[in-house]
Amino acid sequence: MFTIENLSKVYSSQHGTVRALDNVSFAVERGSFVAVTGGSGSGKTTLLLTLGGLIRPTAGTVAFSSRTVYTMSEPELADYRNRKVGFVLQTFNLIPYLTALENVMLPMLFNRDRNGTSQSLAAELLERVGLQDRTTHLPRELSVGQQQRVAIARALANSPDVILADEPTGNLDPNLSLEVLRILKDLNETEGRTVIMVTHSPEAAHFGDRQLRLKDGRIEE
Amino acid sequence: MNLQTILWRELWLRKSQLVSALIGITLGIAVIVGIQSVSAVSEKAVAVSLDNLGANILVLPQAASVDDYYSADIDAPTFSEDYVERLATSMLPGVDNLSPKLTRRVKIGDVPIILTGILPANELASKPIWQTAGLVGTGLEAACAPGNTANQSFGYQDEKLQRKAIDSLATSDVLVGSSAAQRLNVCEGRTVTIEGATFTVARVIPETGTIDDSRVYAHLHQVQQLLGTGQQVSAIEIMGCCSAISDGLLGKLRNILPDTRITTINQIVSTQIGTNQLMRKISVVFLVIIIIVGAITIGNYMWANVEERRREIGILITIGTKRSAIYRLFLSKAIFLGVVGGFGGFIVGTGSAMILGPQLAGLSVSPMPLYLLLSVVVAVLIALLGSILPIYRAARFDPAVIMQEV
Repeated sequence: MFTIENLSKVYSSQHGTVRALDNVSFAVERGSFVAVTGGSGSGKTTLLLTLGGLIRPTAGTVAFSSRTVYTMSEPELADYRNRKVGFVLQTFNLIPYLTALENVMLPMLFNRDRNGTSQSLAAELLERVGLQDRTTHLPRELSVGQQQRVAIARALANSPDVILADEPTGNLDPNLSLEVLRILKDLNETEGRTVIMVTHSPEAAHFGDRQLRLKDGRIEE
Repeated sequence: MNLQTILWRELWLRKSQLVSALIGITLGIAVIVGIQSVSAVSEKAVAVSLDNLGANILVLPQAASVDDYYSADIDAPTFSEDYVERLATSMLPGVDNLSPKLTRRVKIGDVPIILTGILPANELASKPIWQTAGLVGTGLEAACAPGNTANQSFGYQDEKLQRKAIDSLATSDVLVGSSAAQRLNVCEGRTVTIEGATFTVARVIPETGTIDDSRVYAHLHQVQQLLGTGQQVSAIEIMGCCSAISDGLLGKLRNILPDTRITTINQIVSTQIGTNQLMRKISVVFLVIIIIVGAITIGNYMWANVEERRREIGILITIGTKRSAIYRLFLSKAIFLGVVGGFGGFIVGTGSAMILGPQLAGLSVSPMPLYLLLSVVVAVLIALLGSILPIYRAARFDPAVIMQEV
């Protein structure tokens, strides 16, 4: 599904340069659950956002289903993020003034294939994560665990091939973490969705069927 | 759900910011509308007041000078009265009234007097005091109303602002200026003999402080007959619309009457044009100031709004929202602010002008529907102008940076 070759990302600032990714190469099979681990500043999030089409690498290529991601035009990249990948982030990142249902519908706004069906699909997705009775709640009216489940439902809105999860349990207590990890595992096992999850937690990493360890921007598999 | 849903929800979420931004733009537009409304009415009032000073174009025989017109020299040349009809039938835009006159020095008894023949239906009561003296007639329209095009004039509802022509003057009647009445020792109802004909003094015109005070006015055709001039006149006074004058009315008049001397009474015309221009300039200055201040106010609000919504914009871009949709989202907000602010500004500005105009300036202000459209257009332009930079910034946010901010 993903083929990453010689990927490097260098951040430059007035204080000097930081090599977040250093000549990283690996492949991700369709239907796999990859856990990317590593310490703080090891380049985990940079790697995940690069796969998601959000950070243009300094060198190397990212290919998704044989298509090179960073040769796409700006609108094509937006379509890629909208339809091919679903993001689940540590801080949930829900729109505060939209209900749970509307937050899940959000990615479908820009997908014509979902015209007219977005509301029922969003309701199904919220049911899928066990929030069928919270559809009209605003994020502030939901617990953190429920907010993360809404974020997972939103990531599934356009039925993406891959879910990119950045520390999805980082803000959750152990019980809620387990709940979220089970949902991701279930999506992987029952629906065959590819999951790439960045985590610093060894327990969470065990949910992956493959682990990649990053250190100083390099892979230690 | 669509982009509008996001727009309304966000506006509702941050109501207080929205209200303060709307107050800013509403007050700005209100000031423009208020000033425009009052200045439009005051321009009309000034135009009418200046009209009341008298005619502003003189048609004289080619060989005559303006001095001849005032001195009423007995030898002053004349031209045919047909010229009046020629002008009237030309339907020349901007010519509001024609007043032919024949002026000669005569003796009444032993007293030398300037006798002026006038055509009552066309003769302007050229001083407001004539009106108060009871010389009733048809209300004339002001020549230089603001926004007037060359072929349009506006009437006035206010009785005090209306000029009146002398409807009727019998061939056996005369109007006598105040100083002429003293010198002739006559009063209303008395008779005078001019060139062997007897006239009744129909009215003694109260003192005006001008050359009119020393004149005696009789019907033009009677004066022509008495003096044996035939159908000749010394001059035609014209009330011309000053905007038409600046658009070349004099040239057009000269084309119609090539063998005459056509001149403006400069002080009146230049005062009218100058006053109107000054008012327009003041309005433009206010407009520019308010556009700048309004755009800065809206820009400041939008900038703060964009900064506050960094994470939200980051989420939208992350989930695949195209930058064009981000532009649409914020442009819709700017347009909403402009439309509501423009509408509100029109209501507040017009209302204030209608309430304060009569109290502070003695001017009766009416709502001008055109200003509603202009208010909305100007307010939307201000909002868009102020929003350009913040919106551009919003669409250029790097979601990767925002998503990594905790």
